[in-house]
Amino acid sequence: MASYLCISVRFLQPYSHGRNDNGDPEWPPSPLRTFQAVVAAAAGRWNERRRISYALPALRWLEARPLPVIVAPAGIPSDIRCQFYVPDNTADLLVPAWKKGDLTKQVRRTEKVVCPTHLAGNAVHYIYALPNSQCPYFEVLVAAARSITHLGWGIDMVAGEARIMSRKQIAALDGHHWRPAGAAGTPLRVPTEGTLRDLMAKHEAFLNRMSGDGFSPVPPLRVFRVQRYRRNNEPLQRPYRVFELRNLDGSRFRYPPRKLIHIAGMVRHLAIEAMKQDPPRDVDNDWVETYVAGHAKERSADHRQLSYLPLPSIGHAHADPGVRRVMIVAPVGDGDWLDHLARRLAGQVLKPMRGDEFAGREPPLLVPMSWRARDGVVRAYTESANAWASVTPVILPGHDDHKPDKSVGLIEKALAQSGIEQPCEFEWSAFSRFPKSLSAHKYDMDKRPTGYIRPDHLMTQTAVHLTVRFVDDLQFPGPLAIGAGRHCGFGVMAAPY
Amino acid sequence: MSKNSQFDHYLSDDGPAALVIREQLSPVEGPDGVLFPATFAAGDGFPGGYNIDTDAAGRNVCLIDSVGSQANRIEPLFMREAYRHLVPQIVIKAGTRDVNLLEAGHRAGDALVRCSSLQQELQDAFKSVLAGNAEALARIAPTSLVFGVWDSRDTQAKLPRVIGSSIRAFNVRKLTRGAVYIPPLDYSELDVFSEEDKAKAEGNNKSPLAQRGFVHNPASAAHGGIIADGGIRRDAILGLAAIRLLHAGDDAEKTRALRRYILGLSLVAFTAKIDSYLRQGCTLVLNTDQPREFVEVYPDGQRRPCGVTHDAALQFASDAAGAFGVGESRTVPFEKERAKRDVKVDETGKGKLKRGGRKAGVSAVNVEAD
Repeated sequence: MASYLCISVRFLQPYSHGRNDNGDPEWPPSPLRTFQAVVAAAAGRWNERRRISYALPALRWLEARPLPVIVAPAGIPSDIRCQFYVPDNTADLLVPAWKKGDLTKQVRRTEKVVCPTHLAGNAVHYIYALPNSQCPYFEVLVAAARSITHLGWGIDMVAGEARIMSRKQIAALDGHHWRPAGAAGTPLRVPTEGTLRDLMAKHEAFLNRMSGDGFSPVPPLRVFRVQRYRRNNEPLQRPYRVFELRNLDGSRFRYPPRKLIHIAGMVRHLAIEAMKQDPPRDVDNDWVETYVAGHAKERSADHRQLSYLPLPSIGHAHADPGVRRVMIVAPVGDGDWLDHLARRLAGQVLKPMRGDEFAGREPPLLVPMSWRARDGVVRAYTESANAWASVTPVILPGHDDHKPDKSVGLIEKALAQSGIEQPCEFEWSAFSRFPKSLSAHKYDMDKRPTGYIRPDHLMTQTAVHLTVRFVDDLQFPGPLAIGAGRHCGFGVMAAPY
Repeated sequence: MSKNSQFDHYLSDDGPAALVIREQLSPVEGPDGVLFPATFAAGDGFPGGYNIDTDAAGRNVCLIDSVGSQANRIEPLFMREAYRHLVPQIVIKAGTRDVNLLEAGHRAGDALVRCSSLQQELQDAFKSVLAGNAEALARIAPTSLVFGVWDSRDTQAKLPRVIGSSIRAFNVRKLTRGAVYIPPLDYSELDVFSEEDKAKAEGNNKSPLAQRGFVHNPASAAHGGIIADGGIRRDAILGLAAIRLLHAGDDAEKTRALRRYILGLSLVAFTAKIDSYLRQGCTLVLNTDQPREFVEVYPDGQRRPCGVTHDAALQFASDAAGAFGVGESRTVPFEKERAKRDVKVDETGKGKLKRGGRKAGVSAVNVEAD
């Protein structure tokens, strides 16, 4: 029966103040942070403050373990970054004033921003697979783990423990399971071969930083890796490719947001043409029809297709909402097909289908935007966020008859149809959180058509602007599109600023 | 069992990791009374005012007194008559002021005490800590071992806090208040200034007349305290595992005496009644309607009731202090020349930076895993 080494850290108050490399709250605490805590605890436990010796083999063994699974309660980063003012260690500078009898002078204070993570539980467990169910240094690791006193800041007091557990016991642990993931997920620092040696070298440098020759700066810790971790119910990111709309002279091309459906249609048309000519290998005969064009087969329960999403510009309250970019999104796992299509669309000129789309202007080119070059607009549509708001209205799978209860049911159905299973809260309105987005109304007060032009087959359904917030501070990756028009530019969501 | 060993199970590797107190508090006016939390300056997107956050359960939570603030309130306990004998009273004479080390913000690492005649002794004590012996520091500044210390301006030695305490209020309603200053006389009638000047000045905080109290001056929508619908709670932790990391070098007996001494001080501070008065408008007392939780927390998460009383803690601490040998109480002068030399070292040290380099062949690895 498989056994696992479980190193547990229990927070004695439901707060953690640890920060990641960007200075943002870090949750769960990274395996490197905990490894460093174990190393420091071992130094204290066996009073080897200058150089670790007794626990060295155990720590080397721990460093060499495959990446742990982390089981942790939900951690909600604080809404506010509160500025404390803590006294500088400069009380000696007050003495001249005191000598003159002026006792009113105060110690200078320095800013310290406090932004804790609120914990929905207290225990974080690091689960290491044991080769042959053997843990050769178990007693040493237990003693070291029980000597961990703090994790994060000095006010984050904890109690540590180490145990051998079975798979069944691990499955029963309270908390979310975080596993090493690929490109998507939360980046956490992890130890690697040489981390312990680097830590010890750093400590040696710290102890010897002052000498007769002066001061030698202590180098930072360098030997570690960054590994992305994903929570067990965290969704995978859909692959996407972004194209800028450019004129032949390279300048940006702007399309009116109200008519963004035309851009979606033209890009889709180019995709169909390109894939008819040169489809990927090993696709079915009807792949272009169903997957690229999006015509679902009758009674098909597992229909998958590309989405063509023109992106109105967003980013601040006065951003001009014209369409200057278009994104093609594939279902999870279809990155290769998307790459194949994107390479064949690069540099292509959009072809008007109605004839009047460009009002006398030259049609734009599709210029691919690399991942590294993605700008603030693209990031707002694609980076993970806990809260999402619609830029274009979400077209619901029916009419709500102006009844809120029915609206709720339709919204829930739309979320399910869009593949969103994670628990969330939502609110809706005719108006978007993005100030320059058009409302979800179809007609204005004079009964004239208003808002975004919709395809004919989506005219009768209710449309709303939606804000979705995922429970437990789940970070949902973009791109995200919800509702009946989610493949042609409706229900496109972005992280509200 | 000798009286000195009665709490040795707290110093055992199999013992609890910590003691935890959770006690419900109430404003002295009553559970629905208004209290005034600490206010914080605006900055970094924070609008300023009370620190009201949202916890994981969706309740709003307001910080009433932080860990640092609580430590600064508790530590001077050892200046009082009943407790003075437990720790050395180190007083630094600086001009017209006498500053007890127990009141120095950075404890044994404070610049004030470092620039006194204790400088060398403290430096040696901190260096001993770095080498694995906390005995010397316990003789000069034992409460630095209880509340934590960082010798930030010299050796950089750091010791974690053994005691952490904070007070928070839950599900709070924020209140505002308004007030108006009404001068006792109408100074314009006395021709101190004209009616026109009076009209311009009233309500104008930038006007000298308003600033000096000659005209009406309203103050609206100012912070008006909170009402804690979800109660107020003090959470205090005594980290026993941290005490077990204290050593007197390799001497087991001295190490035991040191640990018992620091445990005694910690138990006294932990079980003492805290000051009710935190700030103007914030006097908190125990809410006797709600049970107080005082438990031993074990590494596996088990919680068992703890029955240590303050009297028992004080008796134990006295005995442990006697066995350890409390350091000598002293009054020492602040030495200007030491401070000047200290500042000079800070300034010239920067010019003497020795550039370190990595040896060829040693890789610095920091890669993002695919």
